[in-house]
Amino acid sequence: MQAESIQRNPQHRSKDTEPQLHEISDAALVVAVARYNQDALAEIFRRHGGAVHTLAKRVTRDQALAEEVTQELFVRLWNEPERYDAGRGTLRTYLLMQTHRRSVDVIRSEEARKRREQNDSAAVTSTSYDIDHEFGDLADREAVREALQTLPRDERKAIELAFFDGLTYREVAQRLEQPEGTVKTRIRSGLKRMNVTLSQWRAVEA
Amino acid sequence: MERPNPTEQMQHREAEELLGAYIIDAVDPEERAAIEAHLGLCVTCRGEVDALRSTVGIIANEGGPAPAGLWERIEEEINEGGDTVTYRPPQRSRLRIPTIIASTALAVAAALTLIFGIEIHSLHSQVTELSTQVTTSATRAIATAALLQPGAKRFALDSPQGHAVGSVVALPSGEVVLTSFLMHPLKASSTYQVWAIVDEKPISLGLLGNRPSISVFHTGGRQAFEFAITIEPAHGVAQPTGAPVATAAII
Repeated sequence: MQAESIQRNPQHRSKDTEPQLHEISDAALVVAVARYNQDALAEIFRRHGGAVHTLAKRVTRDQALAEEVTQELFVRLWNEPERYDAGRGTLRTYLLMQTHRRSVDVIRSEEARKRREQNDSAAVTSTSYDIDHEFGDLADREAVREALQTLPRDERKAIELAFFDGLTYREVAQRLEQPEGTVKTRIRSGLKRMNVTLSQWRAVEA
Repeated sequence: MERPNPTEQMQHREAEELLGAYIIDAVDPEERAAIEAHLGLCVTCRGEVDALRSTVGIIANEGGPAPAGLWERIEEEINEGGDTVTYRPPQRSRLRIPTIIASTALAVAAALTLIFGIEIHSLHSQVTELSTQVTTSATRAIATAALLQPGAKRFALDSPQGHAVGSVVALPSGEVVLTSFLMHPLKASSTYQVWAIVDEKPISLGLLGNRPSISVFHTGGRQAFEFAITIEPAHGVAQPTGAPVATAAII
């Protein structure tokens, strides 16, 4: 995608992408968003809004916080579409990484942490939240499950606590009663190992 | 331009050790800033972060539906709140209509037909491409509304390994909403094809394309208690050529 193509041009508030929005690529939709095409943003939300919300909810364990994070993400994409660089990965990866970062920032604030702890028991009992999960991308989920299973237990635990519980590596170290340096290394080596497994999986899928 | 400030720059080794924690946001804000400063200078570390990015994207990707009404709130914020109907250009209004209808629980199929001009396919249209792929986020709200219809029956759509991959909502009217089929995209030369099992025989309900989403189809008034999805060549086939990748049956 060329840098110029993403520049805002309100003159082009056209319907040129409207007829076949569901068929055009994510990158093209972002270009359309840069031209203030709100339908393009709606299509991006349709494609990725659920995944963004699911991740935000998984990390924050709070419906209201998750909705706030999701709303913020899409408003930011509307205001700053040029921040997405198609050369560095898919739009979904970009949005999910932004979501994760925002979610952990939110839960690390003291007030949110309290709310989250109050929600802990509810979160555990509502994991059979069918309708949410059944929309999930099965292929990715299964691949991740398998890739996680191949990791040594300590690496898996460190990654899960950091990623899904939003803990810093220092907090993970405290929780697991392990040295910080060890946890840091385990997270990195575990991710690299998953990278290899998932690359093989992607090659097979392709 | 890229001259490091030795007093502030995080040492390469220190930064490198933190890259895993950094990419999953498990570092403190100060560390994050220091690593990002280092990434601006270090090709090696940037390469490692780039390589891990898609892996983290996959770990983060659990799919899932967006809550009803969330898009409308985003739309409202984008339009700076207030009376969004007044300020919204006409081209946007079509996004709201289906949601209003969905929220008042009008008949799902009627809503789809009226608003999107969607042709509801029947058993007669053996391998016709379904034209019911969602075109706006609001359709998802309609799919959710389908679940709320009186007499709606939901079937779990399972992979052969027994993992839930989606669901099928069958309405008493014969409309069937495949509410949550979000499988891995296929190559352009392939399609997912959906079958109703009637009298133990698979009857094609239509093609879902290679990137399926929410779809609506019609069983033509015949009772189907089982559904199956197979991967087929893009033009579709009259009979399944392989084992189903997902099945749904009355529980």
